[in-house]
Amino acid sequence: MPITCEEVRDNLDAWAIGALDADDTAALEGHLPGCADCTLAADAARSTASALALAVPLHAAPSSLKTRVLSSATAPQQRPVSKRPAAWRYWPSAAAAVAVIGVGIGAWGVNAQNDLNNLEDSRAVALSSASTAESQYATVSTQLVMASDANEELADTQDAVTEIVTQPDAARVAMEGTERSEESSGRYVWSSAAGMGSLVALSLPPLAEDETYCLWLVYETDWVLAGTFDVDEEGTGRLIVKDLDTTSATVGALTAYAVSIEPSGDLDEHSGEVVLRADIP
Amino acid sequence: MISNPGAVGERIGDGAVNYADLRDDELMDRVALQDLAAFEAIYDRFGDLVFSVAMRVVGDPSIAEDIAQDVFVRVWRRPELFDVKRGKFVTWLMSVTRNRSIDERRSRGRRLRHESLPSIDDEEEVIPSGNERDDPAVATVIADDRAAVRAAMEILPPEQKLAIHLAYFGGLTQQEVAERLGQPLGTVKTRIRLGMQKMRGALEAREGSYRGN
Repeated sequence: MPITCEEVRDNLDAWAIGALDADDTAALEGHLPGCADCTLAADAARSTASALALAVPLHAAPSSLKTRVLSSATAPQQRPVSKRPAAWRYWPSAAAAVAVIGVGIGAWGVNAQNDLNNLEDSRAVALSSASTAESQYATVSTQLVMASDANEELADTQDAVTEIVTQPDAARVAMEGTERSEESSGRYVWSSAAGMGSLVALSLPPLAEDETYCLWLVYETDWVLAGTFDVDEEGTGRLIVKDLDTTSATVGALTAYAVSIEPSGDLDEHSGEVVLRADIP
Repeated sequence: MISNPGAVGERIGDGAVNYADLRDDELMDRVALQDLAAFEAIYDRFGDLVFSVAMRVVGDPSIAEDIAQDVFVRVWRRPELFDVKRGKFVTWLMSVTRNRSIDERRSRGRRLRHESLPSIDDEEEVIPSGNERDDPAVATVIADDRAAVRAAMEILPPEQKLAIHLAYFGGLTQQEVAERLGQPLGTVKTRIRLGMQKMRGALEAREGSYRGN
């Protein structure tokens, strides 16, 4: 049964400090999206509640915590394994490589155990298994190199972003999800002085195996591909665009930025659905 | 080569950036772009506070450290969850920290060494904190905010303060607070509502000076 604004107001403070039971919380939170006045009051109540936290006696955090936080934050996240060539991407999925290593090593270990059992039965099988193990070892070694490369590129990306945002001419646009993906959003920041741009896209839909995300610079007469990228499990995608040319293009004025889903492979022109867009006024 | 789009969009560059001078929301704009230096500045500004809130709820430094780590990693990986239109960054951060701490407290239950509810009594400050060392100007403003909140809480009658404290830091519902205090549910509801109204009035009466606004 819906609750009234008066009932909501009576409960807002208790809700803000987490003191409402589950049923009352659900009723109150069900009311808020349709009531702007109560939502404003809820924000005020939440602000007061959060102020309570400011009153706690301060303890100095252990000095090691900062190191832990920075290490954890920048540690690669688990992401789906990319199946595309990395030529366009400047933000490879380090975690994917690490995850693959884990799976690879695990599979290798299981297979190795099976191989040992087989050795007792047949020399031929053993030879075959040894060959398989060698192959798997080679794969694991390759993936270890990938992880190392990925970590280096993560560091490079950090450097690139810092270089962009600290330039005097750095500028940004907010990108909004289209009807295809209304919950998506993004930001693109660039600097002519740095000759680079950086895209962070959020809440993008997952891709099929043969698809990729593309960032386009939309000019009056053409769509210019700025780069392609994958997304992680949370739909977050990042792209560093390099080699920005500061000379004027022959394709007219820039009218928009767009992110679309395109088939993997050679991309000469835009054909897929646009999921993010920022029009230039 | 990709043609440069030119000077469109919102300018964010201002030459040499001193991160300690940036507002919280400005730092978060940069965190959204995965600017690690901005994230580090956020940590320097709020690391002690986040750790302290977690300590207040769980009472165990090791667990509080884990919680603080989780909170900051979330800030880094999901910066879009902070919406500047919904309020100050510190408000959001404290909410995330408190909720994460309460979740941890509930999940650990009796395994927590700190089994009793968080104390209402004021403890001694154990600062100088990292942010005071690294960012004196900001630390002063945050300290002013903290002093205002503490002063606002001081005006509350002890029974109101206790009911609010048990709910906010102890993770108890109004019903559970009533049972713990041996008071009728209606009495506890009134204490919480009146106490929070007084707090809000006291805080609103104070002119906001914190630059995180």
